[in-house]
Amino acid sequence: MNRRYHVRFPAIIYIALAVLVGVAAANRPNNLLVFIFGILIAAILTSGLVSGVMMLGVRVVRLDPRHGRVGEPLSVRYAITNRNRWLALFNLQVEEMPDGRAEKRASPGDAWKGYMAPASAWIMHVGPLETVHGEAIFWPTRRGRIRLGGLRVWSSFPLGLIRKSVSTTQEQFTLIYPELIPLKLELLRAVTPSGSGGSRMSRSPGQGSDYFGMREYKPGDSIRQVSWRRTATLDQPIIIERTRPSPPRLRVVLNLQRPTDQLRFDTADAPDGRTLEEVAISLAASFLQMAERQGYEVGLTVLGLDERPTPLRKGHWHVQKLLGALAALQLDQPRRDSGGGQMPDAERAGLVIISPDRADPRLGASSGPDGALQITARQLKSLRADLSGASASRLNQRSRREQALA
Amino acid sequence: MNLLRRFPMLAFALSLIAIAGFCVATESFGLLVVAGALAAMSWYVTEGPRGRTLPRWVANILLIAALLNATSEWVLRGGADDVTSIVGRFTLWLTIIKLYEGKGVRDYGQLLALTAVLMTAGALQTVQLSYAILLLAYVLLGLVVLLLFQMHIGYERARVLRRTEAPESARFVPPVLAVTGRNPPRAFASLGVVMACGGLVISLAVFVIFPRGLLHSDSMLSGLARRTTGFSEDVRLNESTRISESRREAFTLQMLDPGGTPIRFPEPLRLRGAVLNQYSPREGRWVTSRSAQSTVRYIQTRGGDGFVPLGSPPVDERVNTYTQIVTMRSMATETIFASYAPVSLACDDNRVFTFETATLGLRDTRGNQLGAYSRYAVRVQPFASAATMRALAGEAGAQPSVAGYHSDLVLAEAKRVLRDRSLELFPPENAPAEVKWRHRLSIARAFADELQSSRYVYTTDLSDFTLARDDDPTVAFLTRHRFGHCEHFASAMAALCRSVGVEARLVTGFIAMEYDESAQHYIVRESNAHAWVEVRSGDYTWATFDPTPPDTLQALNDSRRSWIDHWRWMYDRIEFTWNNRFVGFDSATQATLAERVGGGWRAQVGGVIESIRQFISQVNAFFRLGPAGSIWLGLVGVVVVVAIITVVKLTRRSAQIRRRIGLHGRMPIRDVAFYVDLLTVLERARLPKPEWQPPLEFAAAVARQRPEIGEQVRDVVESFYRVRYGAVPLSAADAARLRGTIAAVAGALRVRPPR
Repeated sequence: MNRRYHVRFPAIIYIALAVLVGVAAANRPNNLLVFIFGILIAAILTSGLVSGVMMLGVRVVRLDPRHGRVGEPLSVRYAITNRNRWLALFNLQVEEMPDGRAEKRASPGDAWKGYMAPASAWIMHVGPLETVHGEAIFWPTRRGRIRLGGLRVWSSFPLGLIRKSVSTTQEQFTLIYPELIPLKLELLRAVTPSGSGGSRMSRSPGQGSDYFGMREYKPGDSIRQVSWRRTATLDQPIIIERTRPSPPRLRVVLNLQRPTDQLRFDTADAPDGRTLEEVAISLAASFLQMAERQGYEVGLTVLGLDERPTPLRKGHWHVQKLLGALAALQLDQPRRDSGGGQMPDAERAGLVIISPDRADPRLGASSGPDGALQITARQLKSLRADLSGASASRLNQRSRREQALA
Repeated sequence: MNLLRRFPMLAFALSLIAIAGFCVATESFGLLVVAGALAAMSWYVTEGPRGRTLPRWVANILLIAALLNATSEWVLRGGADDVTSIVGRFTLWLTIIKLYEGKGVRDYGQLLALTAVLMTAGALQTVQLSYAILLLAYVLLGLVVLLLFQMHIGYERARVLRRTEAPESARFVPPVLAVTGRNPPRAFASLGVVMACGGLVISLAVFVIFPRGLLHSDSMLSGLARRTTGFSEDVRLNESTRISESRREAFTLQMLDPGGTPIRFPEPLRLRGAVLNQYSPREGRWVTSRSAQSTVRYIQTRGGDGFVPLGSPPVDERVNTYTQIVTMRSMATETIFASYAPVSLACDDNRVFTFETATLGLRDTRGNQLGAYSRYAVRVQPFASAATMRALAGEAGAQPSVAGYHSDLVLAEAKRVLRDRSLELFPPENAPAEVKWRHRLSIARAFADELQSSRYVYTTDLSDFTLARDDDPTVAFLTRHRFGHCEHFASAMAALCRSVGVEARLVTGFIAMEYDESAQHYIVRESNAHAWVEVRSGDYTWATFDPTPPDTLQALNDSRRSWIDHWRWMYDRIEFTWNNRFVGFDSATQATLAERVGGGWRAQVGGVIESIRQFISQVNAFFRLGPAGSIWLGLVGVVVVVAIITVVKLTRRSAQIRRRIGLHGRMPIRDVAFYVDLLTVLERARLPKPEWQPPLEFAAAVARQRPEIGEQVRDVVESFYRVRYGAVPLSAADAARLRGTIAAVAGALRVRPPR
């Protein structure tokens, strides 16, 4: 834990004024001036003593940071403890240090400063032997895995003349998920095979309309399920079981087989190829999120990188895993061109193939009678939904709900 | 958040105090009304229901106007002494303009700086108690405002940073919330009190040790304080501002009869201060002129040792001697005020006084210093015999000390008065001395009666008392105007007496008319300063005559009374202490203080050591320990000290353990102390346990951070659980094992193990 004292410019002005008053007090027979000079000296001495003692007892720990999302606020919380028995702490600022010792050992690429602008947490008061939690709100600008290294807590309380800081090292990592882009709902309907109702039956009984099987009556079964003909035949109650409708399925395929430097792009679409790839990742994430909200089972396949395809599942946490996988993609890895070999087949799921610059005709050939939806990052503007009116409010509500869940 | 909400109002209050302080310092009460009203209105204008602030361009125009006004003022007046008041007024207008402007962090900083400049400018103008009270209020409130200002800066900074860092497309920016612990106002108040007390102590220490007299004369300090006195040692009839109407208490006087009972005299008491025997007609001024035969005796008082006789030989005080006890209030002077004739003196302090035999005047010898004594007593004999007066005055008392009054007008007036009263100007030639003295006294009585008649009017309003160049004010009073105050009356009587050869002299001092029955003492105020005449009535004796109409004097005193008089004494007392202790604090006072503190400290330490030595000897003798008894007692003393230290340490440790674990009931502390030792080791290694985290969860977190000690920490925590919650007693072997484990953890973390 390092402690430092920084003399600020107001302190220099203050000392100069105190000296002036002292000279005036010595020059004039005026004891009031002497008293004022004493007050000025007392203020700086008391301030230094109080602030020094205050900062001796401060301890700060970063609580496990949750994942963030590009364009959404990332809350990083800190636990500030005051070990002083008598003195309270006031006006503390907690901030992440841009360069810490831990960062020099690790790779510089994942330092947090490349992902978001600095922010700080402001703590108004911590009582003696108390712990409070403060938060700093960061706004990530790009997705990835970030490393939080050194922490610094500083204060210029009580008089603002000297800034005292205490820094410590606490290395932690977190993921920044890709940006979620509001997409048109029609895109989803276009790739869902046989409509939203799905085209396969589940393997477990449910409340559907199709025949599944028969079994003996159990107490609690509805009388409407009784098969009277079979019951008459077997002389014991027999129940007809129906099927459970299966949810629709969607697999998102992110095609990153082409290396970044071979991408074709127009500067009107994106400044460079990497940006196109990031947009493609964001589109993939957006599709997954949108489909999950509509009750789809979703899965992700990334072509070109060493990422295993994920099975088709449903649920918020499954999507979060997929988003985490997208966030952790390392685009600097060498790309493998596997053609369409990695494409899953016989899944009876809709297929969305997202490419950065242009569609790959080799992909999606075996996707079934409805075909795959091939989109590129360059089509972003045409894919984006119009957020005016009710749709925007619904999207906002969902966003807040997701934040609450996170 | 409540703390932050109070900041704007407290900053506003601070500005008002600064404005009021400067106006009080410069005694510009008109400015106080105008500026104070403007400043007070600013709160309603800017923070009211329809709050409006001054646009920046309007504020700049007003600022330029104030600057031009200040510049023109400086050019027209030009004096160096006026610079501070001009700068102060300019700062005052700047402050008012700033109050009407919108206030961000920077504006508040500027406002606070302006108030500080205002108060400093005020301190350069005055040393009055009223300003000092405002300065103290400013300092105390300023401390609170400054602390709140820092928090305000922190909050604004956080708020602005959060707004600016959020992208433009952000739909919702979380607001900055004030994160606080329990009861921040109380903690803030405690901190403020601690800082205020510490600051005042340090500032007083700086005040005491700050060197005085380096670049200026020390006498200037005393001069500042001496201006507060109401008594003057000369009479200047040409200056009409010398009569004070201040109701401030100068001192109180208790008169005891020869039996020691407080009494009230039927006549007002005239307390002599200065005896003036030389008059300058051109200047209209009475001063003291010492004759060659006048002697000065030095009287040494030793506080508490009783009365020191003034006469040589000492006067018999058993008969007809009254005791006058004076307690100083707001007045500070080196003059002893006593009625005629003082025979002995006592003071509550060790002092040296001078006793001038010709005038019977007493003074403190510390010339330019304030008379810091608070109480003295004088024994007086109002009807002193010739023998007494000879013992007091010596041969100087018998010497004629006055000259005649050479003015035909005055002589003509004197003769007219005597003629009207059928008095002869001269006594029979062969009359005995006693008759001659009585004749002179009857002449003096006639003059006094004439001045007390309706022909002469007592007034303090001298606006119509005009004098031509080289006019004698006394002659003008007697022959032309016939109105004036006590100094004119006394001067006129002295002039009349002298013109016909009667020895007379002017006496200035105080007249005690107001008697407090409950406290049984006279209250003498600054407005009771008075002048009268003494006429020689024998070889060594003088008779007192007061030509001022007594009814007028009483009526004037009664008219000045108000209900405030009952409470003035508190303020006067504080102001006296202020002037005495603070304003007049100079290098001599510093030296005295150092001597007292140093000497007193040494004396006290010496006394303590001696007491200890005596105690040891007594114990040694009681127990008959012999020559080595001191050594044994020393050893016992060491053992006692070690035992006390051990008890204190054990008590603190047990309190710490109870606090850390939340232990209540009868569980022995020693059984769970090992867990506290583990926490201490981990804290030293920068692994503190948060209060909200359970021990096992904390152990798991430590294991994640430092796997090499995870097992050991978990083992200790589990042992703690067994002992604390499982009621499993801790055996000696387990205790030793746990101590070893904790020492190993400390070694692995490279921190100091617990003792």
